[in-house]
Amino acid sequence: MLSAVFIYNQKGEVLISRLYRHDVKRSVADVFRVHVISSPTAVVRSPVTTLGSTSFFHIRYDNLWLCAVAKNNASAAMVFEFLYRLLGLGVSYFGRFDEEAVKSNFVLIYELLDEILDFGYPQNMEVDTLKLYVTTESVRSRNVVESQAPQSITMQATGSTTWRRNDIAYKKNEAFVDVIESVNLILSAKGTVLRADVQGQIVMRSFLSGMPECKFGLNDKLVLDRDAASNAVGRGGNMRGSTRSRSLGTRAGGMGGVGDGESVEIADCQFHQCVRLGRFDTDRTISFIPPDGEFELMRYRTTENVNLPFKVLPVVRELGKSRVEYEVLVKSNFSSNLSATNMAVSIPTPPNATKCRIKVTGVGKAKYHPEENAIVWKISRFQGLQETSLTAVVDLAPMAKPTPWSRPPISLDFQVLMFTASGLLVRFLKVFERSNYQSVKWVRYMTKAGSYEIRI
Amino acid sequence: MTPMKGLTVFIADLRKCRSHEEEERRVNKELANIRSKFKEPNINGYNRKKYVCKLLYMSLLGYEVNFGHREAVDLINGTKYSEKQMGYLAVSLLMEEDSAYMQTVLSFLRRDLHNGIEWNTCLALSAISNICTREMAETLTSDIVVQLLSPSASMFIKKKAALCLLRLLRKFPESVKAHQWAGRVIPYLGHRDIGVTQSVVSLVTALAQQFPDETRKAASFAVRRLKSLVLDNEYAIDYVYYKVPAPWLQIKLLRLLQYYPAPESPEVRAILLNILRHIIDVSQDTPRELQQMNAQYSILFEAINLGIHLDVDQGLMQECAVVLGRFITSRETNVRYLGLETMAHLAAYIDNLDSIKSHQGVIIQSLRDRDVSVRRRALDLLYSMCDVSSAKVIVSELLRHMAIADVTLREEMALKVAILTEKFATEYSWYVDVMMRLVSLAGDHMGDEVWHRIVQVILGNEELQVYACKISLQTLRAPVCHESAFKVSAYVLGEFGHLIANASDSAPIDQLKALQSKMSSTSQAARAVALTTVGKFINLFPEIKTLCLRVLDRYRGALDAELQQRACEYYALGTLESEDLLPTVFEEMPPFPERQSALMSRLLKRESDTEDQRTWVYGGRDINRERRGLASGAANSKDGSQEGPDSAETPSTPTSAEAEAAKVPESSALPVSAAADIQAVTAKDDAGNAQQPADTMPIDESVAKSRRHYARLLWENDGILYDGDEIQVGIVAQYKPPAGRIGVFLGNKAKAPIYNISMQAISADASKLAVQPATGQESVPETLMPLAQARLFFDASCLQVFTSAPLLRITYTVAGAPTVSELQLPVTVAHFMDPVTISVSDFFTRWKQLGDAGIGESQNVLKSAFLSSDAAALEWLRSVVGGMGFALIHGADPDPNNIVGVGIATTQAGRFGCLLRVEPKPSHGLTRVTVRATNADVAQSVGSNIKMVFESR
Repeated sequence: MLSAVFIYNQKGEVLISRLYRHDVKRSVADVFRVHVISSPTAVVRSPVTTLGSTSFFHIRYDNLWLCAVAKNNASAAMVFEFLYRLLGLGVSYFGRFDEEAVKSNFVLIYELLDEILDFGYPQNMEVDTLKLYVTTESVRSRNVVESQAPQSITMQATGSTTWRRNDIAYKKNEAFVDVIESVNLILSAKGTVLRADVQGQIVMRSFLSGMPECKFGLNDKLVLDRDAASNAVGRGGNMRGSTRSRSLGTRAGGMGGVGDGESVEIADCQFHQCVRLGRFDTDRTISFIPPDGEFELMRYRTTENVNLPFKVLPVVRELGKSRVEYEVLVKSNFSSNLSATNMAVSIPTPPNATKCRIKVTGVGKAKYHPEENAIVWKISRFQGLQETSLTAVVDLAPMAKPTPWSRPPISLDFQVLMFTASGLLVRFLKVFERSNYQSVKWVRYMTKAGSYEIRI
Repeated sequence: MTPMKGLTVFIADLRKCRSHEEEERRVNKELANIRSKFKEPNINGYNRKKYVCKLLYMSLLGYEVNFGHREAVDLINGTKYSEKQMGYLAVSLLMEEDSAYMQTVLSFLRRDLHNGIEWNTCLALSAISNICTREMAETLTSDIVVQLLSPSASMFIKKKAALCLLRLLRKFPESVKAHQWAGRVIPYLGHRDIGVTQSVVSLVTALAQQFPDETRKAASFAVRRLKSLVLDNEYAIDYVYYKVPAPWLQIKLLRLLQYYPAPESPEVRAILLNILRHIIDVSQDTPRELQQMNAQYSILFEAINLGIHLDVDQGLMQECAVVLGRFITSRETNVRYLGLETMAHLAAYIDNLDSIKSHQGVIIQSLRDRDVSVRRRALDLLYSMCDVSSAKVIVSELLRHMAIADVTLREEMALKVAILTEKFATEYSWYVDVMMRLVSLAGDHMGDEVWHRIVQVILGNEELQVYACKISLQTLRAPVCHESAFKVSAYVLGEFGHLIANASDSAPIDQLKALQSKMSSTSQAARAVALTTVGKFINLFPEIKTLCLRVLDRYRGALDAELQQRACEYYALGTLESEDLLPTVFEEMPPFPERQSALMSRLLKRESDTEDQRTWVYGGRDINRERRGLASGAANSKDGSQEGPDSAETPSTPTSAEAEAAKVPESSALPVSAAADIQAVTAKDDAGNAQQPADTMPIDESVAKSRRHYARLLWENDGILYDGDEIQVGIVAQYKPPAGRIGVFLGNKAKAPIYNISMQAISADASKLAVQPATGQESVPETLMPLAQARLFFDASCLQVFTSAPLLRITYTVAGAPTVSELQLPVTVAHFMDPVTISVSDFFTRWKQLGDAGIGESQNVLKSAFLSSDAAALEWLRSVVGGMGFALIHGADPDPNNIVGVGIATTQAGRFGCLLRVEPKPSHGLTRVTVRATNADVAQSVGSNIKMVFESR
């Protein structure tokens, strides 16, 4: 398995170096630095580099390089899962995981590395569990060790719910559900959709006492169709009737983009380890005992019936060799009581552009950014069912060797709150606990741009 | 240059960038800035220069700069030196040869060349050298030559112009039309300024390799210049480098002289000799300073190389050997290296090797040198200096070193040992011993060529075979046996095991056991060889057949396909009912035809040619002579082809014949005069009829005599084909249907030498019979002294049945008269006949079948008064039939006097059975000869051959 884990800063200096096996020396850190970090040749680098019999798996985050070294034929997927978990650990421990955080917390990082890997084999990497006994504050550390019997940690770490202590108590029991979707789009110059899909993520923050059993319902097409079938024979009423939570459906009803009663085909579901996969496989109910605090409950993908939040109608004319004219019209395609924020439209210009004359009719400001070879049009707030346009004339310098312009696509960046591009809705979230307490649940939706590109 | 702040800031910015992405953004921004700046009208010279500088910097960093070329060209047009310089720099770095601005640049270059201001001209010359497009070479060369030759141009410009021409010449030798100005440049070798001379020498050296004729005068200039430098001490004090006057110039001049033949006039020769002697004398005392030593030694080494090239008197060379002997013991590695290298050069030419041999001990010591390149040179030298007397010592030393030598060196060492042993072997036992040891020692490091070669040599020399067998058996019995040695031993025993079978201790059973004992521990390839040997044993020693079969049986189930196939096939052969197939299959291998040793070609392949034409290779005198001969031959044939078009102006010249004659590979050196003369003779030949042999005989020869010669060669493989006043042609032929090898021996019977010999075999129809000179043989010498003999082998392969025999065309000049002889070569389809034995009863069955089929029959009733009933004549008849490749079937014909024979004519297209019946009737003085074959032409050919034999008896 893993022989070593290194963390480098941007310049390639080793910040953290932990060897787990004797088959590598510390000097392999230099090998990776020479061949990957400071290699002048490769700009786009493969995440796996095999030099001789040694494989280096790396990810980049902020200004850090996280690198795992394996001598033997390790499963790359597992190594990357480990690296991302490590990243998650860092973020949740230090808030930000960057060079400074690593430098000021290196003792803790070594402690963590000792805990999560044993002879190169990954061990318990659950943040909540680790936080119990690898603590940031020395004072609390003593308390924990004194107050909690060590065996309770062992019990938890080896029990059936490793991700949750059983003695959690809150005065106010609350659960927050965030549905975050990113839309990917490629539109051809003629306006036909070449690719459109949505990557979704459901993040939950639970502040619930005891060992709550949760059930989670979406407008999943398969479930709804089955319910409709069972309603027809008259046996389905009690499931809806017994909901004790606030009706999430009514909240969602206020949203602009998503209609009630529509169902969504969800594909590629991935769940947090707390979700009972057996139940999901048999009747597609999502039931789980949530970890305390924030976690990612599931990920999914939809490719059918994507609601595109923006329409872009570009007209780009190359007038001879010296001028290019742009007319770009952007329309928002969601309910007028919602709005998009942090919107940026990047309109590429030819590499030999010299001067841009830009005029915006509507909202936003546009400016030519020569370092990116693009006109960047920023709109801080954009209402639904609104439109705005931009016209620009770009002067070109003569080229020594005339090469045609590759015409890269226009790309969009935005965030729309309370809108799901897939049409996904949270139908219910039920919480069952022995003490039968009341709980409050909140749902939030957000759609942002993945790679949202329109060819010109 | 004044500092440019914007540029420094920009470079500092880029250096500060932490990541590639950041740098790219900064560059993009700057590019956009420069683009907009260049758009502005009235940009001043300083800014233009600054921005072009920035563009250059970005371009050097690897970013694509696709604009600003016009601005660079504008800079050239500027007035300031720094602007012009930057402009030329930018043009040479940014622009491609096919750029649209090149025309403008070209006109600026020409303007600057003739500008008259020194630095403008210099900038233009440097720019031309750097950019160097084909167009520049075509249009500007004459302008540059003018600068070089102009009396008003400064030394500096002359130097630059010479170097610029050199660059253009190297890149576009065909565009600069060097032959037009080469001659005019040469006098500058005598220019009083050493710097100019030095540049010109480099140019002339390059010219000398391409235009030896135009630059012939250069040699005398170089000698004079050397004389003034070395003997007369005429040089500016600036050019003395650590007490040595202009060492680089001296070296270049000495090297230049090596491209020309030795000067003919005795005075020049004497001067040159004096110079060399002076250089050698000067270097007798070792200088103290390193730089002086380097300079002095490098001159000396070049001088020795020149001495060797000129083949000057032996005394001087012996002196050189002494000096070199001192060098090879030097403590300096570089000096040792050069000493050994130069000594190898010396050894390659010098007649008397004694002076070098006196250092043999030191050289052998050098094989153990610390430095691997020195070791390599020592090996080369040993290889070059080896001769019959020292071969044993050197070979044994090399063998001793083999074990400890570098792995990289071992292959070459093994090859060289193999070549030396073969070349200088005086005793057979020594050859076999050395080669077996070599194979055992270095088997892992050499290719298959070495052991193949051993087998070839053993097969070719009968005297070697018994001893080789003994040694092979010993090798197999030794506790350890290298795989290659095993292969050789197995092969040799399989071929010649019977030669030692009667000796005690080497009975067939012992041989088999020895083979078997090692067989299990060798590789698949070696086992395959061993299996064939076992197969051969079945044939050689019927008494151990069962044991052999047992061995084969075991391998019938081998996993390796090759082994399995061999074992199965040999087993099947061994267990066959009829006994005749086995001996045919395992017949003794014929000796390999002589051809160039594979070892030699492999060794030569290792030494690749460089741009600078080296004039020698490692090896003894003979190989270098050969090379030189080849080179001059090539030069001659080049001359011939150049002359070709000129002579073609006369309409009667048969250019195709000339081209054909020039194509003869063995004698590519067809001189011009001979080529021109061919037409006259071929015109004569055209009158004759090429079909009948008698008609193509030379006019001055009696027809009957040559007919008799020819007829005899129809049934005998060697004999005289033509016997004239001046030349005699003998034939030695060997047929392995469908191939044959015909050796033509040309003897000089005239009192005077024969010049310009070339021999060529012309097949009447190349698609049926291919005749070409055998590859890898020595070429026919151009000159044949009286009573000397030259030989040339031709490979004939019979592709289809053919009817007309090939012609042999010999051209030569004797006593100033060019002559062409055309002879018919005794090669007919009947020569490609294999004897076949069939049973008595079968013969007449087949005879009748063929007669009924009526495909091909030839019947002649021949007068044969000479055939009385006496037995001797009948015996002669039998030998004729046998000699023509027929197997005689005894007792098939009811009349005991009659002769019947069976043969198969083999061509690559197919095999044709042929039956022959000769019925002599001595009482009538007549003989009836009937030939029946499955091909009409075969029957006709055999019939007419026999007829001719009878008639010419």
